[in-house]
Amino acid sequence: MRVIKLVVVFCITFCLIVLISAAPSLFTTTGEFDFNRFFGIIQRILYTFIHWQDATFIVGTNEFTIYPDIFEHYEYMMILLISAIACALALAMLLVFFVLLMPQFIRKTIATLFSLLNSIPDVFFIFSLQLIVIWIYKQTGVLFIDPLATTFDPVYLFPILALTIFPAIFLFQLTLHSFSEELTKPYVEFAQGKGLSHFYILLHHVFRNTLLSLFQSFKQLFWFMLGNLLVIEYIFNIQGFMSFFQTYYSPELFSICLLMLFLTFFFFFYLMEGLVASYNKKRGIVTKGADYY
Amino acid sequence: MIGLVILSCLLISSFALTNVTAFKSDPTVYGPRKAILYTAPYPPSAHHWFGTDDAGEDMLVSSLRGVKETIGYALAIAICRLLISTIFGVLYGLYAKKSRWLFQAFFRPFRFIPAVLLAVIILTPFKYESPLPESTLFWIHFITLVLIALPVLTEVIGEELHYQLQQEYIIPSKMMGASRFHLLRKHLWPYFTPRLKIHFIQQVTQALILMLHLSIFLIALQIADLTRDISNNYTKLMTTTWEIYTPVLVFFLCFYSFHLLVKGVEQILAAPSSQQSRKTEISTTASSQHDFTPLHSQ
Repeated sequence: MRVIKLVVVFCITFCLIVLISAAPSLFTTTGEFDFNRFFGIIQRILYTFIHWQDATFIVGTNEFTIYPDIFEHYEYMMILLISAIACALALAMLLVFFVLLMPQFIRKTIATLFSLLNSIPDVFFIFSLQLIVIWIYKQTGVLFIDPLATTFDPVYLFPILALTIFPAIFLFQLTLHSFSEELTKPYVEFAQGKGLSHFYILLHHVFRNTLLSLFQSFKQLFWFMLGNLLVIEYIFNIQGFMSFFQTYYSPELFSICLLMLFLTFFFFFYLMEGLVASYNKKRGIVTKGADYY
Repeated sequence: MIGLVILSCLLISSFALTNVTAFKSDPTVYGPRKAILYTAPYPPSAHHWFGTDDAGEDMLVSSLRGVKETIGYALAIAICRLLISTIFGVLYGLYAKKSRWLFQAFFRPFRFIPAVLLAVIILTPFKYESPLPESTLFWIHFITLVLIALPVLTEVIGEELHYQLQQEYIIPSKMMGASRFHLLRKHLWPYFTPRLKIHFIQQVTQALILMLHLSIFLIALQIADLTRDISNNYTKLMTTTWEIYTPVLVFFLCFYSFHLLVKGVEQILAAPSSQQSRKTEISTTASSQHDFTPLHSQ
């Protein structure tokens, strides 16, 4: 039963991806419905899926095959995403430990500061980083990102920086919240009564107990990191995976990229949720409510 | 409530400045013998704190002027989104039982496709010199922005209601023969209306950030607002930085005020739980799960 469900879910998602990819062709530029073109595009997409080796995309007047180029871009995107989230997680954790070991008033000021930071549009940071890149170039002659690049050229430092800022702020707030909540629980008081140091309790008990709840938020986090990545690639002019969607837009390419994204995230979260569930089972915690996969 | 103050200040100044031209400098300043000394855009100075745009207009004033359209547009989008997805969400939460996983499969792709991407894809064909009249374009943009958020919002609302239906106090009510409509009216609605306020403000901020991102992709929304300032000046980031930073700064202020509003509403919702009334306790435990939905997610 589980397997059948999984297959049906895959089929629905696949159909949706095809439909979404074909949707922009439903309207002509004069604003009329054009079902013939729509079905034509759907046929083309399905054809591409069957003959995937021959799939091409067109830049200017040149035609390039998608494979194996797309994997290079894909790898680049995954490196960016994973390293950004790892940096964000590490940064947030360090900050939370630092803040929780500080006196109360510093804790409060930092919490307010971060809620202010949280509402600065991400674009603001990205613009600033772009300006910093140019400033460094003017001062030292080292150009980290070529704003006029026309070919794919993997750069890591600044995109990762730009991608990290937002998840770091978000994760910091989330962690601080869940840590503070965990610290009010009776076992913490008991541990303090036993004479364990504050740092030890944080590291050995509170940290472990709250880490899992953090993973629950990853789904949403990845969602808006992908959106961010799109904007970042556009502003920094990186010909990455997301620009496949945007600059060389064609329905076939779009659906292939979407499918790759979907498969990645599906398996990632499927695995993670399985791990979390088995861990909870081992510890006798019953989870109720939302499980999406 | 500071959020409300900032927001009202922004709005009042926006309306007040609509027809004021006092802040305009001459686009060119001539020296002796008609030599051009300076031309607009002027950099930030004592007279124009945030610099001026190409026509010599004070950047801060013209940005503030755009606030009302920006916020109005975002509010309209949020209202439409909420109205539609509340209807579907209630249907989904109340009636879907065995078939829930099917619906979830339907909603899932929208949980990993960024909304910006969808909007960009759908709106790009209309970007360059579309033969359509402006009003039609306006509606196309508006409807697209409303539609792309519907699946996720519907799912969230539906799941919330479903979660609430699992609560213990629902079971006796069901056993006594309460219909679904009765459950909705008497049990779910009182819980749901305060959540709706938070959803509303979150949707407004999401719409704002989506508009900002779209403006970077040079998709104009056919309204005279902040995002148009940004998308018009996007290419000038390197040369006349202030022309793009000022609108972004004003945008940040709008954003921050909504952010504070969310916090305020959540605090008000959480407050009565200390008085140990059972009903509110339930609602706050449920709401604490959603405390940290990021405002920026689109």
